[in-house]
Amino acid sequence: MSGFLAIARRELAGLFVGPLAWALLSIALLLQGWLFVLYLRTSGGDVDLSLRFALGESWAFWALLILVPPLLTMRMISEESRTGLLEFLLTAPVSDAAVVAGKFAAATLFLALLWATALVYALTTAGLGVPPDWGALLGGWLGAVACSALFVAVGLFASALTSTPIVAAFAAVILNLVFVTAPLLGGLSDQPAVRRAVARIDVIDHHKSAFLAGVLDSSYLIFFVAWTLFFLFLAVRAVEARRWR
Amino acid sequence: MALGPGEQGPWTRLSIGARVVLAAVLALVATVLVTWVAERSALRWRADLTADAENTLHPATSKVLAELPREIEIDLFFSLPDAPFQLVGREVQDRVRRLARLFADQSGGRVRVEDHDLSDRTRLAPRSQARRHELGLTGIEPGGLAAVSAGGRRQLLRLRGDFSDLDPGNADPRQGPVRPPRVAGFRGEEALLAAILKVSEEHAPLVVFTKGHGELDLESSAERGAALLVRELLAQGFRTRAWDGNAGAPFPADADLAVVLGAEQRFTAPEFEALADYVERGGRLLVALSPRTVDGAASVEELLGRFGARPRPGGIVCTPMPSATGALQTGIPQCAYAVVGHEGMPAQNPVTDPLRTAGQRVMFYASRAVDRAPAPRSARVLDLLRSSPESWFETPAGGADRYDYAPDPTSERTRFTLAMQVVFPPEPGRAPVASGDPARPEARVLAVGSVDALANHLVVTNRDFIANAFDWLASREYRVRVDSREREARRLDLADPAPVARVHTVAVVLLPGLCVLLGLATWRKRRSTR
Repeated sequence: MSGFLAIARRELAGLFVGPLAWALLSIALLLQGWLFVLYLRTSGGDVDLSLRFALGESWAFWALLILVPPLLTMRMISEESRTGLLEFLLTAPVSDAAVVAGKFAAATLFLALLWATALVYALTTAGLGVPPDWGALLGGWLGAVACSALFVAVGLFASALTSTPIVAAFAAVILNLVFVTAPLLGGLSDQPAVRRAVARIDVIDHHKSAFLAGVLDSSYLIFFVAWTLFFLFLAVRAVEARRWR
Repeated sequence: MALGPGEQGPWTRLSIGARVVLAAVLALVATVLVTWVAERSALRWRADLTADAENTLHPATSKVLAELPREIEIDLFFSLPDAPFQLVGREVQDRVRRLARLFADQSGGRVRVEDHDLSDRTRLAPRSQARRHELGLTGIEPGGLAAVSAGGRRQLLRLRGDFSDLDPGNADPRQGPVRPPRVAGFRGEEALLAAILKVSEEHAPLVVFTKGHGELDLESSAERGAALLVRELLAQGFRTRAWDGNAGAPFPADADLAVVLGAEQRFTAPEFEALADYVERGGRLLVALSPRTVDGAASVEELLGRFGARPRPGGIVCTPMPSATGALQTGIPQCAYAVVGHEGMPAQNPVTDPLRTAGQRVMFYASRAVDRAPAPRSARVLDLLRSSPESWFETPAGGADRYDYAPDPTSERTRFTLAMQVVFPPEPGRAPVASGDPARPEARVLAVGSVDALANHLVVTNRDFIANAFDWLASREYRVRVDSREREARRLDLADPAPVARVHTVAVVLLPGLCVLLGLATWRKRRSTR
């Protein structure tokens, strides 16, 4: 546990010491903020609807989710593998799982912080006399964090597969795109079995029809937890495989 | 752990690789299994975090879903809403989607939802097209609809009217303060529940059509046939049967309602008495009138007159038709069409209220005017549909059916009643009809001035009017009252630019700006420490 915490702390500090995280955060917040104000104007000032857009109803949210986690995780394992730091880390008295989990926790926490800016928007409108539906906001934020966790796990898996960060980022973006677009493409099929199968990995639907609607449903929660654990398991295996080389 | 020198052979690596692949496959299977098990309703736990309990179904709904006798399918055919309802229409679509999902989740697999996105017609899936064909959906209006079906039955629910009331707001500052369009009322749960009850009920009401007096042919697909009406009724969950009283067949004792579709000849005396007796004992009757007057004993005119509605003899109602320039035209055959909008319909009526709120119109052709006549004791008579105030009563110029569609200078221009509703208690001391509603024993009569309104060429146009009318006649008014779910309006006042400007400052300037400053500070600190 202490190994996991130490790695998570180190990764989080590493993120905020480097310029990449700040650059990503600035760009993401600028886009999110601009779109939030735009939604506010086009929805006739509807605060809840605008917050929903910021937390999953808009294309911008999914674009950020597809791109930001791979950019955050691309160096986490592959770069360390290239520089030899990973070998050093793997010889330390921490398990491979703790290494992967620590990095996962740091990246997920970073994204949770990014989505928490919706809370700042909400506090601003509340300060202006229009408080949002706090419960729905909490649900939306939890869903955004759950989606982020899944995509961070995908990113770590990709990062563990290669020693070139840019290749890791590219692979993770492709995997994320598959997750996001497969249900859309599957919906075009006239085979019910195909549609049912792809509906099982429909991340957008799982986020929108539960969390974003303000519902905490164990089934939807387990969906994200299970798939996140699956990719983390693959990432651990991939890290482990480096020992054989 | 690194491999030892003796463990680096190709077979060892292959074996390890195979084990890794196997572990990954097993993990994938476990993931799919866990998510599948988690979806089982018995194992699910959910909490509605919203302040208005938007995601919690009414106990009545939960009870119906728990006891569903058959599987229900909800097909959502949503397309882009028309102006000015693009944004609020999408909001309603979104709420209906979530509601349908909620129904599916709480039904334990008895309700299935399929979302067919019609926004991009070039990529319309063959599956969606096949479902539209199966459900008999020819045209879908902007915004789309939901089809609730079970077996061969289906109910259609429109975005506007059935699911919600939409307020167009005001975009013109000359006509008062500018207001954006909004959802004035959302009753999705009630609408879906009523539709599910209709398609899943065990009892299919029997509609008995009279035949042998020049009525519309129930099997004809011609313009003035009634095959589409019959198909529509079957889809709505009715059974249909023709009754040939001329041949001496007794009136079916299990009839839920009797329909006379444009009879142009008189009934025989026993037929007439059977129909009148059925209604007087609490039966239900729909009479759609032919443009030709059939007067005298045992005619439809006499039958309706007995219940308080009298078709005006000797002509039809005509209305001026707007030309391409907007000017009203007379003297053309199109004047025989009467289009009834919300201004010609009463509010708070189960037949017309959904049409009014949806902004739908009813189209009649060569319609008779229906006047009031002495009604049975304690009868309630209501003018259901009324023509436009420019209408006139057109009489044949030379011989039967020869109209010039031009009003005489002396013609009265007024609203004529095109459909009339009469409700009265059954005659005391007489055995009530077998199919009557014991909770509400009452006779219901609906006189429709135009048989064409129910003929093949106008069935699609008047589908909702027809569905509402037959539902009302068969007492299929499902009054499982579910309160309208209004999202509490949490809106910033856009008329005042200051609040939005403040949000803009925080969201677009302060937050990203703070990140840039912190990033620069970190970068400087790193440079200075090197």
